[in-house]
Amino acid sequence: MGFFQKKKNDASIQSDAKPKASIGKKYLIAVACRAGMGSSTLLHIKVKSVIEENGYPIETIHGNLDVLIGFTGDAFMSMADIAAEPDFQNKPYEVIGIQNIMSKEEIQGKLETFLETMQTK
Amino acid sequence: MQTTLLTKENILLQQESTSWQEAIKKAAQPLLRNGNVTKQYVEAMIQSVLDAGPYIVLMPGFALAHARSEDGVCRLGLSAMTLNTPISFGSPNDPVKVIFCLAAIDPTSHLELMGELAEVLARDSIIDRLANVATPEAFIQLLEETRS
Repeated sequence: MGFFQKKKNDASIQSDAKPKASIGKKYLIAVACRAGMGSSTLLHIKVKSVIEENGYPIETIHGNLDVLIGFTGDAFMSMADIAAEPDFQNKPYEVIGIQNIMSKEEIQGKLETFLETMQTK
Repeated sequence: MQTTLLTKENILLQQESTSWQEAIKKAAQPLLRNGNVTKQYVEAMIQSVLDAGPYIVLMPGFALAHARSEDGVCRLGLSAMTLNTPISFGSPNDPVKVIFCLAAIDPTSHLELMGELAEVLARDSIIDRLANVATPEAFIQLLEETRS
């Protein structure tokens, strides 16, 4: 049901909402936007591949902004203009805005900054 | 293309628009015509940018227009449009040359499509290449080619 025929072994589009057993501390990032359908779906796919490639200790969940209701995780990630909205200032979690959601470099840089911030907390 | 959402009829090339609102309306025409979405959905796509800013401009030159399922999606659908004269959405990723319109029925049934779209968009200068094609066939071919 995509552009093309079904593909095998495309693990990148599965949800990884359930945390895997791990010895070290894992951080939780909610990737979300208003609808939770398009922008943040693509962003989530990209973020997951960057996390996997770099072995970052980060779990992700994805949805619309409702996932932030009662959210106790470590960060909220969205498109830059949503992340910059007044609603998301002074939150108990970090807020990460991505300008070019297809830029692995940008996502990687911001995740590394996030991890550094968490280590000094 | 039986398994393909983006049919030739859903691809509009080298269009002109005087505003981003008009561009979204135009890009959504195939979805409206095919009954994938209602008129309200087209308005909702525009309204969400008015409300929340141009966050649908996801990367330089590319916008993924969409709204919520409950805004008027009848059937999963995708359309595409390229602009002869790129337009501004007021985003740092301006100007926009390629617009896709997504109509998703729920948060999960289009995940495979989004995975494919992510692969396509990750290719070097893909937006410029898509923006420059002259036929829907060539547009589809570019998408197919970027699959590997």
